[in-house]
Amino acid sequence: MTTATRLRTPVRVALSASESPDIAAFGLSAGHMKDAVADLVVQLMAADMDIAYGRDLRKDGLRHLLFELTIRYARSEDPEERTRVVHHLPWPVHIRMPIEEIERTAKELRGIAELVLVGKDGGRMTLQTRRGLSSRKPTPAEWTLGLTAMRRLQQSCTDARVVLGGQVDEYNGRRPGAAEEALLSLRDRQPLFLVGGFGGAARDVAEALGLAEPWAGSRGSWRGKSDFQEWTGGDLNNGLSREENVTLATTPFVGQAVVLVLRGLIRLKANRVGSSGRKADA
Amino acid sequence: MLWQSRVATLRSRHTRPVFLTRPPEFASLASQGLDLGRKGLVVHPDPPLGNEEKTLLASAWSGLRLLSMNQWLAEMQ
Repeated sequence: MTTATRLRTPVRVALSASESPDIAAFGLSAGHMKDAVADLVVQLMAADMDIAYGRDLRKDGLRHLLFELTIRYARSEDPEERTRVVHHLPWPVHIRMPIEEIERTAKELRGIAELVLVGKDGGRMTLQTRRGLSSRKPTPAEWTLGLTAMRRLQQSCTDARVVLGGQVDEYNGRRPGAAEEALLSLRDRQPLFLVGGFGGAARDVAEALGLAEPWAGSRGSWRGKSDFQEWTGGDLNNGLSREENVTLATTPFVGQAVVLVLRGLIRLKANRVGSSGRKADA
Repeated sequence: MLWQSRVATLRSRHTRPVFLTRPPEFASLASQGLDLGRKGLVVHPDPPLGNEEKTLLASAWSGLRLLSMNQWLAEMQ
């Protein structure tokens, strides 16, 4: 258990939640995954924490929920200060979108989430700069570099990461997205929570770290999996004991997983020792 | 019923909180015999209260801490 992880106020938590190839084998559905994400968002916002999200909030059906939660757990009566969610849009995703669609997205999320366009170099790109660029299909190299750049930026502006599900076979980029995000957190000692009950990359990484036993559907290798060999469950730095992390990595009960994530974050907040160096404007 | 079973299990180990079967409101707190000025912990079903509700209830029961079940479980060591 960590005693000196640096968090800022308000704490901002990155959520990595995407489809899992194992979800049916675990007796669950995409609906359970959505419920888990919604439960996490509710508890984090109620605990006065902010959220960073890299997927399309509208397609994930979170827009209406976030609209309600933004009001329910508002820190201020000023609508301009109510936004508690940062939505990072990586270069290869937004460069293929017509500018009108990006503007429409930003407008639809106003008051709910801040849309951050991430440039090729991982810097923040203004809407005005993006207007000066033509939409086009990104190259494979742009997918690889652009996704990693977005993940690095997101990591630099967050204090902890929660990973649920995640594809390991079909993905763009250097390695499976959820796995790359988990790896960046481990390398930077950013608190990492592996919710393995939905299978997918989160479960695979938990297995690699010795937190979960292999199961009938365990996969052998995938690109980047061997990178986790140098880490153990003791490196998650998330405020939870090993026993709690084993439970988090294996429980099929969403409520139990949510409680454990919240418990770790509460412990980390209690041990707060000052600024993390997180980029305030990312 | 599920809530009562869960509370019964937890109450045997943790007798301190007052468990509510519904979200706290003025009437439900008063009906629990919680006098104004009473100090302590009240645990209610999820979701956690909104900030406006918390502020409103705190104006009458400033000594009460209101936590949802998941919030309370998360704080338990």
